[in-house]
Amino acid sequence: MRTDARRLGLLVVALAAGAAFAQPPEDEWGAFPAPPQPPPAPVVPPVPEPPPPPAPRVARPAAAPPPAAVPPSAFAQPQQPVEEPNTVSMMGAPTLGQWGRGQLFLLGFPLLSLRASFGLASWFDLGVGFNTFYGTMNEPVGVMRFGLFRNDSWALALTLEGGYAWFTQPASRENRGARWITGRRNINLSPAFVISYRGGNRRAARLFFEARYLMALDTEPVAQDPLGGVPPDVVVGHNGGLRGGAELPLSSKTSFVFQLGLDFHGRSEDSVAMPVCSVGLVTGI
Amino acid sequence: MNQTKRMILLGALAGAALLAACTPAANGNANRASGSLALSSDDALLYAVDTDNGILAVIDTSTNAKVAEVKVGKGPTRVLVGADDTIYVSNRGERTVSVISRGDWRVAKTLDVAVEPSGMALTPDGKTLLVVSATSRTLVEVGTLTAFDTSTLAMKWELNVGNEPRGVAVVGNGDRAVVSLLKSSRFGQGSDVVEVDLTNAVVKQETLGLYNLANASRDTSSFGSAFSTFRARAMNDLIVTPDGSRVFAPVVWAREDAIGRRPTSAGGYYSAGGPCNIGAVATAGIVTVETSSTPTPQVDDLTACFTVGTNSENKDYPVSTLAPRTPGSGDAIQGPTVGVVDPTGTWLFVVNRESQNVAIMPTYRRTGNDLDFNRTGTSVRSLVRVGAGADGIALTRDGTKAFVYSQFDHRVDVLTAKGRGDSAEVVNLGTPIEIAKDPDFNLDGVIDSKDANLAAGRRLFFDAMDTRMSSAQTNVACSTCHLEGREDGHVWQFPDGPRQTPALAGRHLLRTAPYHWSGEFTSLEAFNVHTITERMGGSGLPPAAAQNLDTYIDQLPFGENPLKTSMPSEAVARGQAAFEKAGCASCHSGELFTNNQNADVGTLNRNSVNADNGPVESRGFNVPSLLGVGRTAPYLHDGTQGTLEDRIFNNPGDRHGVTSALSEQEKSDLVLFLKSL
Repeated sequence: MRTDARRLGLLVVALAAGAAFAQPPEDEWGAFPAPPQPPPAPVVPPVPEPPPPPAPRVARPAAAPPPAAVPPSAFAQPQQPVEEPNTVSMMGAPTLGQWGRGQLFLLGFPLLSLRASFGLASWFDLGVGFNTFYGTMNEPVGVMRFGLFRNDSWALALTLEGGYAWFTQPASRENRGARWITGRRNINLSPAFVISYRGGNRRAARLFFEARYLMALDTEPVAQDPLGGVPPDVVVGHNGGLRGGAELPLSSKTSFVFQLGLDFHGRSEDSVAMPVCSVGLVTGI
Repeated sequence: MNQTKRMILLGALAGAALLAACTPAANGNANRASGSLALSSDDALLYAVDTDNGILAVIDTSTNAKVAEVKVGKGPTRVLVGADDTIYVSNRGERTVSVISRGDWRVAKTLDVAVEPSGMALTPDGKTLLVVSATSRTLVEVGTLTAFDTSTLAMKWELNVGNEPRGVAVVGNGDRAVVSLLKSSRFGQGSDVVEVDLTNAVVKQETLGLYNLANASRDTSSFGSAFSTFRARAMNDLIVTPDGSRVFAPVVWAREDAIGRRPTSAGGYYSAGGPCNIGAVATAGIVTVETSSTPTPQVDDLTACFTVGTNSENKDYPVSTLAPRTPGSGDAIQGPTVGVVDPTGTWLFVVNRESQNVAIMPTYRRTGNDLDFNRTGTSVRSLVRVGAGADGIALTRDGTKAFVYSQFDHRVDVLTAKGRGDSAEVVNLGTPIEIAKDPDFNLDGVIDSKDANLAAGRRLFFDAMDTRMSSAQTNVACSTCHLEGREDGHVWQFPDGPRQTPALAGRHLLRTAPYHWSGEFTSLEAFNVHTITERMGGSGLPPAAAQNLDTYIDQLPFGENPLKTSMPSEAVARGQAAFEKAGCASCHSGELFTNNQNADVGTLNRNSVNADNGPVESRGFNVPSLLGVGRTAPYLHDGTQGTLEDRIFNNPGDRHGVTSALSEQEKSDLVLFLKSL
């Protein structure tokens, strides 16, 4: 019951936020670069004469107070369109919102990744994706993101990614290959906590930090040592990783994204640690 | 729309889950044992064939005690166990395979096969037993592959498969087999692999072109180029991976370029000169064969050495030369005989008879934290010492224990792992299982003698580690070139000219002085001093040990001959008459078919880059015995005649027998007579 209430609360918050930011994208893109429409009539009395040209607020002398009860917007000339905030996040914690959608293309080391997610609820995204270590490991994945907390600046989410990887080289042939570099094996399950922060500006960068655990199930384990015995059918490996980065909005729907991090591998036969470095695009188009 | 999206997502996840459940299926071709050892299907019993005693010993693996002994045929060499626990033993000395049922410790049935059976294999369904024999029932120059129905033990078919075959493995889906040739295919370029279509009982490929692949970048324009070419020999066994995707063939590479005089202090003539500066003029190796629809050898190009070691570290098969990680430290690898891949398909174990050890290496890689390829050029991870005359290995199903049988010590060594990780070692537990004791045996199963001195001589003959025989830089044994006490079909470019390895077995060395092709050694003592100290780099044998060695060589068992019968055929009798008519007997005289003299029969090779020189220029060559000549191709001191037919029909000037006096039929009869000797 408490969970339902919390989800409901999150749903309400997400819906309210969505409603607050709601503006058909077609309106915005269709309007630009047409001349701005006059702002709605202010509910203040008309001024007797034209206002002076706008000047930087910092330069306004203290001895000349602005006319009372006249909003600054009334002096905009010409009026710019209001920037719609970018709410499409694939790497950060904010969920897409119900019926929202997002795509991610990430190019880097060690993986090239594609994602497509869909907001099934304001607090829950479901998606599919594909990871590849440039052909030598190929992994279709399913992804889930649960929004746990969100306000105007901060968000926290739990993500879960799972997939089955195909390796072009059998494990017995590989030496410092895709397994050694990525720590991944045939079946990979990876929960992560993601925390995001975005400044007050509507197009401010969305910073994210992620702590990830990767459970890698090896269904074709090899004997590491001669006469070391036949390994069990499945060997579980434990890995972790810390990653940080930012989504830098290019528009209300599209962001440039980069991330840096370090993965830690628990198997003795894998690399101990491996840097992560990626750039890409997030879009909700 | 939303419903559709959900369905797509769910479908994708379900598909991923289904694929996750898929794992590659093994084809069941693998055998966890090879050579003289095998395990029962439940690992409860270990079977060892003891060649000298002609027995199959049954050992309880829980107590390591011998629980039964079955007298099988003469000279048993290999044992194979089927999934139904039927045991098959190939008896090299009597052309049979003994069939024994588990628990009923007697020979239930004896299968007749061709001459000197050795390698055996079962198809994955267990319905067909394949047996390789060194020669056919009627021809000396070709061996056979015989198929038996395991339910009725009736012969299904028999097929000629090439010269001196030894090992066999079933590959693919059980519809194909590969057979190893000990010395050479008919194309005369060393050991090779023959592919057989089991469904139609035909040879698919007579050669896989191993020589050309191993010498891909050779410089054919000149003799003595930067890197020598090498021939593979001694391909005794074929070792298949559990998934059937690969077969490994132990070989010994033999140098084809000039062999220079090197002082004994530097290891003698035979030291160094191996492929890419690894090993001696005869160097142990391993050839990988991919068993796809078109089997292809995977082998380093021995004529193109890029760095230290052989070729690229990126290749995913064992380095084609076998060498220890710490050469010069007393470790060596020589005389690979049999091997096995562990149940996981990850580790290859190769038993080396002459260096008395087992080399362990990855099956699919040559680099890694546990290897030292870049520095040493080897992919061998571990070497573990075993007894003398090792020719059998078996691994338990759980992959934790290996058994190795040493024929000369009549004992089973037990190997296990010590430690974990990159520094893990394989160790010999040091508590061998005794199968028999000297001198309760007939040597090699066919020499009718219980003389312990002969056994000591045999140990020396097959020992590459005894520094009295061979230096620590050289590590070769007599048997490295005189395979099985016979010959290897190889022509060595010695300082005095090209010289083919002469056959020893059955030729009664003590009665055929002088020695060497040049006949320059009038006594065996002088021969020993020269060969052991100057060529092999050994410190020399004391007289008693030298006598043991010489006596063993003198009594080496004769290669069996299907044409040698108590009642020669008419054609053979006519050939004997032609032999007399052509005057062959004037030199090839007496019981041993040699007058022990030198003769110039027009075979001096004066025009090649490495021309004959020295005493032979004036005296000609030492007349060799013709006993067993049918199985010693190629012919003449320089191996220039590939067959006996070539030799007899190509004799300009009648200098090597008056063959012009013979009709074509008489020449053919003469060839048959020679093959019958």
